[in-house]
Amino acid sequence: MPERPASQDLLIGIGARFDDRVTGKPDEFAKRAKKIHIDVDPSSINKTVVVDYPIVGDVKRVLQELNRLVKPLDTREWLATIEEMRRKYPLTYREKKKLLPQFVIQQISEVTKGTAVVATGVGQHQMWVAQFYQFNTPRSIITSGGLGTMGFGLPAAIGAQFGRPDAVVWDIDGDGSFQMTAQELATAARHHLPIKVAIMNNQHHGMVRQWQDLFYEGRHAQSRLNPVDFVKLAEAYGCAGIRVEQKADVRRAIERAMSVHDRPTVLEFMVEEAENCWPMIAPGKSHDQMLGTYEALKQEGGIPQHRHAEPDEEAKLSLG
Amino acid sequence: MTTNMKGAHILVESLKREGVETVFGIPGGANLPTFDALHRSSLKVILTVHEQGAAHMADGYARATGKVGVCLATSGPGATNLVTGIATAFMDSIPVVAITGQVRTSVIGNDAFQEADTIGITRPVTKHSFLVKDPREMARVVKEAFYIASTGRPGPVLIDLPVDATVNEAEFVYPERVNIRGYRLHAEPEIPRDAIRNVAEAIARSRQPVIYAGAGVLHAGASAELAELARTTRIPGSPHRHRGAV
Ligand SMILES: Cc1cc2nc3c(=O)[nH]c(=O)nc-3n(C[C@H](O)[C@H](O)[C@H](O)COP(=O)(O)OP(=O)(O)OC[C@H]3O[C@@H](n4cnc5c(N)ncnc54)[C@H](O)[C@@H]3O)c2cc1C
Ligand SMILES: Cc1ncc(C[n+]2csc(CCOP(=O)(O)OP(=O)(O)O)c2C)c(N)n1
Ligand SMILES: [Mg+2]
Repeated sequence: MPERPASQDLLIGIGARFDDRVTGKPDEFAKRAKKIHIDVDPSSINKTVVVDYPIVGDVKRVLQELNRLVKPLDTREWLATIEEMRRKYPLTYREKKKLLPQFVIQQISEVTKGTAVVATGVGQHQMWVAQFYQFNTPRSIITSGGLGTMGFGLPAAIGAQFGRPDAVVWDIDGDGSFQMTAQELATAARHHLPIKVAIMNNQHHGMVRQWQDLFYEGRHAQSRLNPVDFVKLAEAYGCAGIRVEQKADVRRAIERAMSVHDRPTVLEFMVEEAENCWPMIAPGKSHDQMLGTYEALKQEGGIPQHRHAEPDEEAKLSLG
Repeated sequence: MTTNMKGAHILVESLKREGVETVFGIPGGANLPTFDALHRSSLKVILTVHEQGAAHMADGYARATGKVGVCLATSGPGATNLVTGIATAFMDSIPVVAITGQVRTSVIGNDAFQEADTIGITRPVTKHSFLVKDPREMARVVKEAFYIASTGRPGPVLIDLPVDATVNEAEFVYPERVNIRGYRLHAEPEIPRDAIRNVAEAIARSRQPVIYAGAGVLHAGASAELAELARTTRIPGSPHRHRGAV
C-alpha cells in the first residue's frame, strides 16, 4: 500500500464535524495521529471520532489565542513528502471519446477563473465540481453536504444571485437533481437573473448507477432516466437554452452563456453515461481501501491526460 | 406617544431592523396579512413556484452572503413543503428564518382547514422554533429568532404565526438586545485558555501535522486567522475544499 496522508501524527480539526464522509471507518481514521477538535458545539465533539484535545469555542477567538502561542515548525521534510505524494497520485481522469463532465467543469472553472459562485445538485456532478472547479474565494461553493438534497442547486443559485447581484452564479447540476426543482426557472426568468445552469445530462441517476455497478452486480434498478429536451424546457420558461454534444463546442457554449445578461441560460451537456467518479471510499471502509486511485486507473489502461495545476507554495500554505 | 400596529406590520418592521432586504415565499390564506404588509413595505418579496424553492433560496442567499436568509409559507401544505429545505439548512448549519402561517389560535388542534402541527413536524430539524400567539410578542420573537439563527452553531429557526397574531394590533417597540436565559454562554463560550496552551504544545511537538478545516471557519469569519495559523506554523491543510473555507 502506498503511504498516504493518514500517516500524519497530529490532526487539527477546526470547525469541522468529522463527518462520516470524511472519516470513512471511524476507528481507522488518522489512526496514528493525536487529534485536536475546535468546535463551538460541544455535541459535535467526540461524536464520530474520539479526540485527544477537545476545544469548545468559537473558531475565530480560539485561533486568535492559538496564533499568539504557536511558533514556526520545521515541516520541510513533511511538506516534501506530501509534495511527492501529490506528484505520484494526482487527481485526474481518463480520456474518453465522448464528452466527459470533468472536462466540462474544468472548462467552466477556467472561463470563470475560479471566481464564480457555484451551486450544485447531489450526485456525481457534485463530486466533480468539488474536484475540478478550482475555487478561489470563500462562500463560493453552495452545496447540500449534510442532507444531500437533490433539487437544491437551482433554487440555491437563485438565492445566491439575489444576495450577490454582481457575482457570476452557476448551478452545475445533474439531470435527475435539476428536475426536482426545475420549475424555479420561472422565478429566475421573471427577475431576469443571469444565472447559468449547466446540466450534466448522463440520462441517469449517475451516482446510484455507479453504486449499482460496483456493489449490485450491475443491476440498474430504477437509475435510468427518461430523456428530456432541456433546451426546450428552458425556452418554455423564457430562458436561453444551449445543447452541447462535442468537446470542441464546450468552450464556445460557456462563453456564449457568459455573454447573456438579461435572463437565465440553461446549458445541456450530453455527457458520457458510464463515467464513474473516482477515487471513492466504499461504505464502511477506510482510507487505505480507497477505490479508483490513480494507480488503479493507470492499470486499467490509458495514461491520464489531465493533471491539476500545481498550486504554488504560498497557496498551499494558505490552504487555498 | 405610542402607535399601535398590526402584528404583520410589526413583523415587517422587525425584519427591516434585522437588515433583511429580500424574502422568498408563497402566500396563502393563513399568511395573507403578512404578504399584504410585505407588499406595502420596501422589502423585496420573491414569489417562488414551490415552497421548497423558497427555503433553498433563503439558504443559498445565506451561504453566499453570510447573512440570515428568510422564507415564508402558508399553513399546512405550504409549511410541509418547506420541510426539506429547512432540514437541508439544519444539516449544514445555515442561518435561515422560516416564517409560516398558522390557523387562528382559537382553532389550533381542531383539524382546522390547512392546519398542520408545523412546530411539531419541524422540531427535529430546527435549531429553535416559536409560536406567536400575541402580536405583543412579535418583535421580541423576531429579534431572538435572528440572534439564535446566526450565533453559536448557526441553524434554521421557525416562527409560526397564527393568523390572528398578524391581524391583531400591539405597540411596536423593537428590543435593543436579546436576553435568552442560558443561551449566550452556549453561543459564545469562554475561551478555554489552558486547553489552548496544551494544543499549542502538541503542535510544537508534532512532526507531521495536518489541518482539517471545515465550514465552521466560514461561520466564524475566521479565514484570515486560519491562514495565519497555517503560515506561521507551516502546517499543510487538507482544507475542506468542499466549502472553500479560505
Ligand atoms: C454524495 C456526497 C459525498 C460527499 N463526500 C464528501 C467527501 O468526500 N469529503 C467531505 O469533506 N465531504 C463530503 N460530503 C459532505 C459531507 O457529507 C459533510 O456535509 C461535510 O463533510 C461537512 O463539512 P464540515 O464538517 O466542514 O461542515 P458542517 O457540517 O457545516 O459542520 C461545521 C462544524 O463547525 C462547527 N461550527 C460552526 N460554527 C462554528 C464557529 N463559529 N466556531 C467553531 N465551530 C463552529 C459546527 O458546530 C460543526 O461541527 C459529501 C456529501 C455528499 C452529498
Ligand atoms: C431528494 C433525494 N432523493 C434521492 C436521493 C438519492 N440520490 C443520491 S444521488 C442520486 C442521483 C443523482 O442523479 P443526478 O442528479 O442526475 O446526478 P448524477 O449522479 O447523474 O451526476 C440519487 C437518486 C437524494 N440524494 N436526494
Ligand atoms: Mg444524472
